[in-house]
Amino acid sequence: MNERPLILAAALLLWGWQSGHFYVAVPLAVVLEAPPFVRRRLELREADFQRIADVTSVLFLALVFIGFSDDAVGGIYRILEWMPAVLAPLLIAQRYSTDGGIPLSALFASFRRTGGTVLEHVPRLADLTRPYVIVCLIAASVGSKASEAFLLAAFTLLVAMLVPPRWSRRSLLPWALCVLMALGAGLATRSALYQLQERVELWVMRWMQDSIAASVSPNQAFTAIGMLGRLKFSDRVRLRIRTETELTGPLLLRESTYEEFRHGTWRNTDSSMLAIDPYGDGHRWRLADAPANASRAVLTAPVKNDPEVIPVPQGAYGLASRDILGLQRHYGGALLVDARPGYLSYEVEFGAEPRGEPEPRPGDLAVPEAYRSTLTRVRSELGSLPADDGGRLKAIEGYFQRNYSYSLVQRGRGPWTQPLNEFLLHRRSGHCEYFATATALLLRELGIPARYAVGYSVSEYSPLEGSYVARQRDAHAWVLAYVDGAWRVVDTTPATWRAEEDAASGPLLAITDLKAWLGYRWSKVRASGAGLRAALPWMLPPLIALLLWRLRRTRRIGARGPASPPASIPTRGADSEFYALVDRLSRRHAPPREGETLRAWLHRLSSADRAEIGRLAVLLDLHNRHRFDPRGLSPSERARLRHAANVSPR
Amino acid sequence: MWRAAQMLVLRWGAHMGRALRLRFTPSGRAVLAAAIVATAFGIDIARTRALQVAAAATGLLLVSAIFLLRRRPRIACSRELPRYGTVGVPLAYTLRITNLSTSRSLAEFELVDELAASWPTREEYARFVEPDRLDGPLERWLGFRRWLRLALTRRGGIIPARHAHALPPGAAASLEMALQPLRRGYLHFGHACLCMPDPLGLINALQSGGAPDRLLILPRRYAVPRLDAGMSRRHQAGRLPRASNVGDSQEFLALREYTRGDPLRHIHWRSWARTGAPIVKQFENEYLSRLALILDTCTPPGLPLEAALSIGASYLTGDHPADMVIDLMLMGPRLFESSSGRGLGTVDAQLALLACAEPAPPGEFHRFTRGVLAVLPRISAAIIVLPQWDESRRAFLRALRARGMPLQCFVTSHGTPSAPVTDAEGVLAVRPESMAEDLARHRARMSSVAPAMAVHA
Repeated sequence: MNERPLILAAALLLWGWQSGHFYVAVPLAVVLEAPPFVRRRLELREADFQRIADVTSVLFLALVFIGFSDDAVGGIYRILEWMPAVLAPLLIAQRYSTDGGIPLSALFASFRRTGGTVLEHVPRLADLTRPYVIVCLIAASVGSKASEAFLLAAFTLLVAMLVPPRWSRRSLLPWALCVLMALGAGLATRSALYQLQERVELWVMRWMQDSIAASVSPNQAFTAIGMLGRLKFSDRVRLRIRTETELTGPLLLRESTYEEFRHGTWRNTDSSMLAIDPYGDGHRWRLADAPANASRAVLTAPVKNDPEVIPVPQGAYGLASRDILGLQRHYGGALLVDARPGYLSYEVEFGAEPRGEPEPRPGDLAVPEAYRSTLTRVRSELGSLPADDGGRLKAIEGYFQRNYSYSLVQRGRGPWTQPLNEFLLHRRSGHCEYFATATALLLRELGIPARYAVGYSVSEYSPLEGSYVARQRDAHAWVLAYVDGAWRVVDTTPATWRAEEDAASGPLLAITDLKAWLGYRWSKVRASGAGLRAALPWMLPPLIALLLWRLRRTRRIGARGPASPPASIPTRGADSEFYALVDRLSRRHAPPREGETLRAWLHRLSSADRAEIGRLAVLLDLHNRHRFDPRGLSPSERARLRHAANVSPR
Repeated sequence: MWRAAQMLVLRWGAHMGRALRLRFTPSGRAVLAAAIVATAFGIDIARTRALQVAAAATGLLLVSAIFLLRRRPRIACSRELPRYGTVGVPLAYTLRITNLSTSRSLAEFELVDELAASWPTREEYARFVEPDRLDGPLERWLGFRRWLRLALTRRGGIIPARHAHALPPGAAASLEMALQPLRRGYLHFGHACLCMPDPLGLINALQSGGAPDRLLILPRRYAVPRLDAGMSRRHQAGRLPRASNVGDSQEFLALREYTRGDPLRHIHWRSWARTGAPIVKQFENEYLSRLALILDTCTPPGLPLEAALSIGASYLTGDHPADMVIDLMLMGPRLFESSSGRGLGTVDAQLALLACAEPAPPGEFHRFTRGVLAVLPRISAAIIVLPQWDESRRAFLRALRARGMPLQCFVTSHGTPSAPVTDAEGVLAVRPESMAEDLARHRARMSSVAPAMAVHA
């Protein structure tokens, strides 16, 4: 059935070239293109094809198992990469069988029950050549390295599938011109598709950020490590913080910490929780011992889930709120509250350094094998390090400040397997998740227990709110390092990150802030239970504005003048020549009276010219059929109406 | 709610499938699939360059799509259809395409002539049972294949596409099309569609033409046993097989006095002269030889009913004496009676009635028997075809036999495993799956015995 010789070989060689699996691709190409030179064919029965398909299915399932057991997210691409080899038995059977195709019953188990046929007109055999070429192309794209060459190769292969079986001199030139035009269109489409992909990825990220990441999971934290393009975070205000004194530097509000890094995700190996009992009036909780220098802040955060992780300052030791019904501490340090959905306000007492943290665990020193060689190279770049952990910490901070820069944009079109290695060795530019992850792993490599922490960095004061605010884009990641018997905050992200984030804020920031503030105030009013009376001052201005707008709009409509007549609806049969005939008869005798049907009118006129009017009744029948009969008139009847109506009566 | 949504999805899926089939060539469908699959997998550009494949495929499709904007010449299509078709028997008809343009040629094209689509309703879909189909649980739940089969059955036939060469301006071509009828009844033709591919051979420009037509598809017909049971006229001595008049006989029976209104040509002049009073000739009524074809349709749809209709159609289209009137009786929403022969009606109308017969509710059988027995006095002989065999049908047959007329009774049901239908019951048993063999057996048996024995009276 293969009408185009060597196309299978070309597809397989492209796959071998791009994926590096030449040792599989070349023998397969030889086997699949050999049939023209081999006389013998296999007389395979339907059951034989079904057995071969079963073998392919088993191979596929094995590949799925291997692919997903190694990498849950990227496993699909590993499977895709090997699909040409998995499907090869079916193609070999097709090429060497006397049938020249694969029975549908071999491809779809459901067809085996119906003897290989589903509908009477559906062919019983399928030609897998084209699907196989496409599979090879997509498999080749997984391991592809050369961009332009791959596009050209893919295009050539697709065009080879379209070469007409017969050439004529007249058809060759237009075909060749079309192919050239298609190449240009393909190049243009490529850049459009990449832009579209970038937008989709950002849209998905924002959606995840707004809907999923807004409520942090204490068990795992997905990072944007490996994502390309510009990271764009929402300007939405997420937290409101009232402090007793003005902040002298950024205040870190922590949500959770994590211990294990794998495939771009930080996890906690233990998801156990510890309930914390209140004391005093039942609305206060003690988290750790009080420090010498303590501060106090009131935070307001939205609560959607039950329980929900709440952010607290790094050194928090006490919590108080009348709206919190229960409090638990997660293995990773996150505080989870039971509270009604809405805005939750809580008072936190905190010191300067992290307090009440658990002792380091073995997981806090684990380094994934995939990064070990890279970390060793980075360690060698650090040169000789001080013996004490505090000195090492400073050296690492200095190293990142000197050699790395902050960037929300990741350019280049992979694929690279370990984006963190790429960040550490080549790009040396990234956002806070790169810095925090790399710092945590580097500290562990140096033997210092470290944990990855996520939360917010607060420094913006909002005059509108009358408090400090943390926006979605203020989300931040840093590291807790266990040094000299205590956990310390290590933030190696260059200080320029805040300026870059601010620069990336949207142009409608003021409007967004006003909307957020109004929404917040309204929810407070509702929560206070003051009812309509309290809400009235808030509702009146927009209602009055709406009324004025409606009044103005009404006047505008009136000022526009008479409405334009509706567009005429094309009437079926409007082209009938009978209308012209009616005009002529009206002029000659008398027009129809008001409400008089054409037939009654013709009947009334019959006294004037009986023979002529009798013939017109026949034409009227044709006219009516032309207008109302769904089948219309036949061409001969239409011609008859046209002719007769034009010639009579003059 | 779920059913309504399912019907919407099924209909939408069928529309999409048809649109894809018409609009894209096989190569076009492959390139479109490549573009879609590559875009889906290419979303993660850090891991794959599948977007490059998608871009190449989309580029080809975009250039092909440009050719949809080309102006196409106007065309005219007309069909030359045979008078009838038969279920399951491929038939040929001619489709004539004329390029009406005076300056533009019609490029090479694929001609797709389709039977008009009439999508099944929710009730029809729920009623549609396929005992011989073995869809898996997933297909049964989705129901798409069952729906497609029902839609195909309703459409009634398959017409393979036909490749045609270019047509110069003003030229016409007659293309031989093949139709495989799948069901009996009228098949409705929609517009013929010309699929003209672009130079890359990916996307078809579509041009439709032609008026709707319809074609009657009859059930399969077989050679049936001949019923020759002395079906002469009653109350009349001699047989008049070639009588050209219907009504009064040409030979008078007696004389009587003239009464007002008698035609003058019936006056017996010699008797008038002899008696002095006007005397007229008296004639005996001539009775027609009427054969009743009684088809029991009060049965669920299935092979026995189709076999019964096949036997009926075989008798209608077979050889029978020219002086015979055939009265077809079958049950629909009411008792349908249709006569043919001797100027009373045409066989065509009876065939149409038979081909379009729908199964009547089983409970209607009693109404059917009452209607048949009421018209029996004017019937000379009867052929009864029963797709079911039970006590009520046995009683019906006994009632017919009690009238003493010649009759043949076919039963196209197997009966029950404990009580299979056999010839021993005084009926001609015909199995739907081997109709030709069974009917041939009956024919051979009846031609070898005396005519009087051939009639199960």
